[in-house]
Amino acid sequence: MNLVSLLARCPPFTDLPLRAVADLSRVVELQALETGERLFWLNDPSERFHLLASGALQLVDASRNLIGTVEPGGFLGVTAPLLPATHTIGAVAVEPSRVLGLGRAQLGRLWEQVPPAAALVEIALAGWVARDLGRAGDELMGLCDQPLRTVRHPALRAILRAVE
Amino acid sequence: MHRLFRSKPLSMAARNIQLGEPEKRFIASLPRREYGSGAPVFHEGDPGTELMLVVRGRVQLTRRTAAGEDLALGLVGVGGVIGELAALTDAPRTATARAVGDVRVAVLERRALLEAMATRDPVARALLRACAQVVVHRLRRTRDLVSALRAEREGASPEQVDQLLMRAVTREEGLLIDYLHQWMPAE
Repeated sequence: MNLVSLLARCPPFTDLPLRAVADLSRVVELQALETGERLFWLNDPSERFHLLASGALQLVDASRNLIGTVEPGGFLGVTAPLLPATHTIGAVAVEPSRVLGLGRAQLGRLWEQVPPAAALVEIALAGWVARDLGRAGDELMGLCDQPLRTVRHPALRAILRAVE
Repeated sequence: MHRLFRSKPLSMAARNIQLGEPEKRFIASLPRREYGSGAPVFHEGDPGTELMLVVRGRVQLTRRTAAGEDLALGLVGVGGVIGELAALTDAPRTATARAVGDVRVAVLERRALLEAMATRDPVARALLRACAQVVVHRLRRTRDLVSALRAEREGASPEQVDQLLMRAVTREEGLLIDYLHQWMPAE
């Protein structure tokens, strides 16, 4: 498997210099999953960015409803290496799969080994998050197409209108 | 009811960002800029190449809705970061920032931050991580508000909206904010 090629094609990293991608490829960890094995589950710590190299994952919610699938090249957890949280969904391998993982420990190693590459990777991840923030902000604005006084829930209305 | 959703005081010091004397000196060396009460710090849509640390006062972040109202996105106090996206992207400002009372900010140009990172300056790493964490926090909070507002618009019960809203208001704010507030010299 060509890790550099796989990482270079991953959307958050497509603008990285190839050298930085090569540096990144040396710290990511490869995890093999059997069919039915969980990559992570609800309430597990969310600390890693995951890139599916091969196989397939299903994503489920708290009620075990299927909410999505991940195919090779797909990725999850862009925010996790930057600011860990808790998983609100589960991910399960539906066939033998291999997943690249980048957590805070791996990012820390990259900072120690090649700080400029680590900075670029962190900026790339944060830039992707910023893109998602833009979309979420637009979605919020779309929901505010009516006057805020029409929001019935008093606390929600107060939060949205809390302009001093 | 509103008391339930008042943001909880930050309950933890910066676990992930360790700021020592070099970082404090770096921030103390940054140029300052002042804004009178109500003055705009920047407008939504402006080009942005600077991030700012609030060293005195508070800054209100808003976006203008289709109905012409100001949607509140946050109130950033001493130690808080605004314009952090300028450190990470070339995108224009995504919100309007306005001074609440008299405000003083420490200004860091994106170019200076990137140059510091190129020289392996550990301070730059701390600031970059802070900016990244602020962006992540704001993404998560915005998504929570979207979920709460969508549920409300779709007729969810008040209790269901309460649950969704609770996630938005109990998210920990950027860890840097609390930490900076502890040692930021009074200005």
